[in-house]
Amino acid sequence: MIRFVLRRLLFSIPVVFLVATTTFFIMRLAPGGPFMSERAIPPEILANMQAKYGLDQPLLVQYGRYLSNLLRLDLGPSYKYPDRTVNEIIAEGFPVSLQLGLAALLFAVAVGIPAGVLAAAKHGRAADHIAMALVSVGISLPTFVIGPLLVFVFSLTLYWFPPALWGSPSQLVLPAVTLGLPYAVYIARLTRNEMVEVLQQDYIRTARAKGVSEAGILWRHARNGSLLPVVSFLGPGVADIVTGSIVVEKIFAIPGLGRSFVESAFSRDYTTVLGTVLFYAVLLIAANLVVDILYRRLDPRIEYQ
Amino acid sequence: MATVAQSAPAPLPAGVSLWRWGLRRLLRRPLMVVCVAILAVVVAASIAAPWIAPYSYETIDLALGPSPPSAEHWFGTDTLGRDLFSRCLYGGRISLAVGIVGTLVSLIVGVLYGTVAGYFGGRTDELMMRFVDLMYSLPYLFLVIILLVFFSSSIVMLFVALGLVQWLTMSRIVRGQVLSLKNAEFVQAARLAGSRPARIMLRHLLPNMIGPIVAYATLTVPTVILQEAFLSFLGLGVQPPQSSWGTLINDGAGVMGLFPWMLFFPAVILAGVLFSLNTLGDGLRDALDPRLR
Repeated sequence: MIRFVLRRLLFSIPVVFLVATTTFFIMRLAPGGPFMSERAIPPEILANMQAKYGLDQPLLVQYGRYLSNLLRLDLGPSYKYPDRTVNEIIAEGFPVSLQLGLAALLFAVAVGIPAGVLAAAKHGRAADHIAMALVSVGISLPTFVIGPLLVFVFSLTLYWFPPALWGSPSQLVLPAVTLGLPYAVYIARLTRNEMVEVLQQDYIRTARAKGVSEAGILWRHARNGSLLPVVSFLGPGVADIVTGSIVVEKIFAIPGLGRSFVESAFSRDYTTVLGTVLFYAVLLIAANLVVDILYRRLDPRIEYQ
Repeated sequence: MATVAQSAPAPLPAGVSLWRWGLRRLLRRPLMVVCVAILAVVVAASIAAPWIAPYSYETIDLALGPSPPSAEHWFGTDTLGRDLFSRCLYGGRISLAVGIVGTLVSLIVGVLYGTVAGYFGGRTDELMMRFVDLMYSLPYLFLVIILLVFFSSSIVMLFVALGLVQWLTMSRIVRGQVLSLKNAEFVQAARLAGSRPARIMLRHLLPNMIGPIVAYATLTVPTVILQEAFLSFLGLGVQPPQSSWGTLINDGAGVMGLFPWMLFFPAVILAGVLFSLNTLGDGLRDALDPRLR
């Protein structure tokens, strides 16, 4: 177990390094820079600004300096907001994105798993067909269609929830549902398909023969086995939610990390872009690791390599 | 969709290839026929856009402005008075082209890569698949965004960026297939007869993997289309006055409260196409699976 975790952590070092290097050179080899603006800056001032941030040095020197700062977890100052560091920007934006993502995840699991279990219990009957038809429609609706539609219905027509911004619990509802819905339908489908298989296993028949109630079979005996694919989907799912939150934060004008990433990319704020991408990379690696550990916990047949 | 009840196992009639038999089985399901029909209409209309579009996609009519659907403008017009029906048709060309080219790239790279890794096995396999693992753990959509922002977001760049990632899963699927096939008797026979690896891969292994490959490729098309739409929604896809379904949805979402048709039509088309492709992909996977006979 510990060896497994250590091995995975070791493997993640080159990943982070690769992300840092690719991002660094993509940005630097592209034309333009953070101090380009519509108003031309006098060349002396521009030179001073570049000198201040070390942008006048050779590229490889800058790269080396960036890496050595990275080792000390210092992501550098933002070029766009001179009074703020990238660490501060992430510390401000991430909690917002995290709340949004967790709420979406909660919604997805709370809706997806029961829906899938119920569909499996009614396997082959009308309720099953209806649920699965809804699922295939849901999978085909991208976040940026769901979001505006929800706003249209629940904000502009019914006035139930505010259409945008952040801060109060009622402002969390629509973004979280938007972000979680595609995920919920996917979980429902996975749970249902796996549950249908599990329900045909011998140990379920034994439980039935012993006189365990249908509900007891569904929620106690069959549950663990059918959770496996859902858990393994959580890894890529977290990645989807992270990228999805870029769009959702844009739709609902939420001051999260996704939005500041896109803004910094457009304003060529080198350090903020790099810092955010690295942060996301580490986040994804951690999420995948947690999922793998959970997976092995749930299925004792899997061994730690 | 896996939900549609499987028809009773029918024996494979003599003289019918797996292909034709699978297609026949697929088309027995009404939902599949509907999906094929939706796709056929949308694809044909998009290809024929220059001839059937009633207006140019870029002609601005400020005097008209945004107008609801009418006899002259079937889908209405956008805020600049451009005909939405024409823009949806031309947008379809770009969205579909991105989906197909992205899938082709993933198909070629993924199949070659997976076959080579699986066939040679051992060290080669280990190394090649480690590289795939590495690529998998990159937050690639972020890298794509960076690539598109920092270098101008041309369509070619979009093709490259999206295609470069989609091959990963394909290579894993193909490798798995090769591993399960490469020790089969017919492959050993070919090897004994002196066939070279390249010939074995192309003539003996590939034809036997076509089912899963086609099924997964069908599922890749909607994924790529969706990603293009996602990037367009962020303002990184095709640039105006050109349109794709993603940019049209982006335009429509902003003014949805005032001019709902601007969101409605492109969203319905995109969702319909994605739904059909997803459903067909699942159906193909079932229909071409010989074990489900």
